[in-house]
Formats: sequence, structure tokens, C-alpha cells
Amino acid sequence: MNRNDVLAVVKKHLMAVVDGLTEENIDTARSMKELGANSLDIVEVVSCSMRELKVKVPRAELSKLHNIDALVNLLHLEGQAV
Amino acid sequence: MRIVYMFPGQSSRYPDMIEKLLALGPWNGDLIDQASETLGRDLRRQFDPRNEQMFARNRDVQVGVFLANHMSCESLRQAGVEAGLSLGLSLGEYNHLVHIGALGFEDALRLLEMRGREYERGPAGVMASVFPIEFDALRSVLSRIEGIGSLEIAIRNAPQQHVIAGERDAVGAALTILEEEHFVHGFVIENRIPMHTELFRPVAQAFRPSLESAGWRRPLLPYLPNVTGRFADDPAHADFIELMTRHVCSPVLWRESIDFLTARYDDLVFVEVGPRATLSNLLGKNWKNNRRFKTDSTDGLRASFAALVEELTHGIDRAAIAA
Repeated sequence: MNRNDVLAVVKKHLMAVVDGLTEENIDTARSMKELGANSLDIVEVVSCSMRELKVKVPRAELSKLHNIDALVNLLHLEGQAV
Repeated sequence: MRIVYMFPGQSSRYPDMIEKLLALGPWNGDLIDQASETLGRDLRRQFDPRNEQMFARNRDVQVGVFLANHMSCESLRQAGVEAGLSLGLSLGEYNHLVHIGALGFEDALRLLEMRGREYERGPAGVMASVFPIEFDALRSVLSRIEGIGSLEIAIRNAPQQHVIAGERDAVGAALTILEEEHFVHGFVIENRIPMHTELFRPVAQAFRPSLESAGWRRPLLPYLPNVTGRFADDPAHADFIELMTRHVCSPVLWRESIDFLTARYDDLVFVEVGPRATLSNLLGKNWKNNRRFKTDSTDGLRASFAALVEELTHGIDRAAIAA
């Protein structure tokens, strides 16, 4: 799975939890919080993405991620390590 | 078309929820003043966003969310919107009881003040929201925690979303298994109080006398208790006391309640009445196709309420005619 596939999965789950968000207005340089997600939403996006991609991201790593690109990079990297 | 109000629980709180509602209309100022007089303390000061201790005590969380839900409901009523059905998640069941006419606003406030005090005295524990995982898979994980500590599925939110609650070590052990074996992260939603679990049975018994002294009335609309997930049949005074005592230490059957309503009626429009959009978002997660709305907004509430009222009074009629 390439990085674009991972990005598509993250975007899909983000749009599912934040009302009114469309693919066009997801700026991956911004954080999920800036796009309207609360803490619970963010955990949900990460959990659903992990489960779909069959990739584990340690909880401790999540606090270091400052935008969507960083999450996608980490999921992609962990996926390659499996 | 039947409108169903859904009242959220304690996890939906945030600091400026009351301030936003006070700016929506003068009726909400009247409500908070009435609530202050009922409880004998200044709730305008308590729920001022500058108060860093706003939610330091559980009684303030309970009173605050109940008040925000009630103000939102009253704001819809002021705009001419009414619902023939409602239900509430956990604490939100008290708003449901007021909405159906089983309990007065002031009685509900007094009960929640006492309920919060009893919760503060209760045993310590943790609650965590876990998703996405099916009920049976989660139950299987919890069965492996026996011996570490007490742990239960406290709220059944949706087919793949649940809240677990219990002793801290047990919750931590379950979250580790969920992360390592099921690709699931948990989110701690409550760090002190293990609500809706057996651990809280003594709290339920301590709260019971308050329930017995409340002025319960025969409801005008159907009563859908969290602990059964279906309509109560002609509930009387003793039934409310029994059900709301059990409510303190029994799982919340939210998923079953929503399934019960949608199986019974095919024309439901759900409206989340209170802070955030937790309950309306739950419905949208590949679960129910019913139209759903929320009263809250990240900006000021005036424009969002006007749009919601327009949609509920005219937009849905237009959609029905077009269909």
C-alpha cells in the first residue's frame, strides 16, 4: 500500500467524524483539531485507520503528531515494517 | 415525520456551552436564575468560562450538562419546535424524564445535585471509550481481565462503539490488549468515576432515598429507560424509582434503544439537543440512515438554531412533498 492509499483511508475516516468536511477542504498540513475534530474524534480516526490498514501505532506516538501528513507518514512507515 | 430528541450525557460538556446558550435568548437566563434559586448557589458564576473549577466536582458536571440540554430544548420550544419522542444517554435520561413530563425541572435539578454528591463519594475508577470493535469481541477481551480487577461494558453506544468502565488497572490492561491485538485505541472519558457498573451499586442504594422523595408524575409521552432499551409500560411512581436506581449501576443500552425506535417507526428524524454532536455522529457511522440534526455549533448558536428550526419546520415538509 503506497502513501496515497494510506492518505485516502485517513481522509475517509476523518470525513466520517467531522460534519461538513469534504475531500477538497482537507488540508493535510493542518491538524485534525484545526479541521473540527475533538480529542475523541481524533482517536476514532486513528483507530479506524489502524484497523483498516492492519497497522499498529503506539499511543505514545500520537501526541507527537502535529498534522495529518505526520499521521499518514507514520501509518505508512509502520505498514511497511509489518 | 416524527422528531426524536436525543439528550447527551456528561462527556459532552465543554467550558462555554452555557455562555453560548445564554446569548441565544432571554429565556435561558430565566432558566439559569431559576436553577440557581432551586439549588441555592450562583450557577451563572459556576458556569462562567473564566471559572477554572467549573467542572471540578461531579455535581457541577451533572447540573451543567442537564442545564445545557434543557436550555437547548427550551430554545427549540420557543421557536415552535416540539418532539413527540425523546431519549437521553446516561445523565441525559433526566432531560428525557423532564421532556416527557415525568419529572419537573426543579425536581430534576435537586436529584442531580444529590446524585453528583453521591457519585463523588463513590469508589474510584476509570471509563474509556473504545472503537471500532464489536460487542462480542470486546466481551471476549474483558473476560481475560478477570483477576486484575472489576471491569464491565458500561455503555453500549453503537454496533462498534462501547464504553468500558471499572478499576484503573483493569481498564489499563484491557486497553493494552485492544491496542496490541485489535488495532483499537481507547480514549479515557472519565478519570474518577466508574458509572453504570456493579462497583456503583452502593452509590445506587445511597441515592435511592432521593429518588423516593421526588415528585414523579405519569408521563405524557413514552418513557424509554436506558436500562431496558424499550418503552416502559405505563410507568408509575415506583417504576421510576426502581429504574433510576438501577440506572446508576447498570449498563446503558443506547444501541438497543435506538434499534428499538427505528424498528418501531420508519419516519424518525433525530435531533441531538445539547452540547456537541456525539449522539448524532454515532448514528451516522454506517448504522442508521435517518436524517439527523444537532442544536450545537462551533460558532455562535443564533444562526445555527435559525437554520435548524427552518429545516425542522419547513425543510422536512418540502422533502416529504418532493418524495
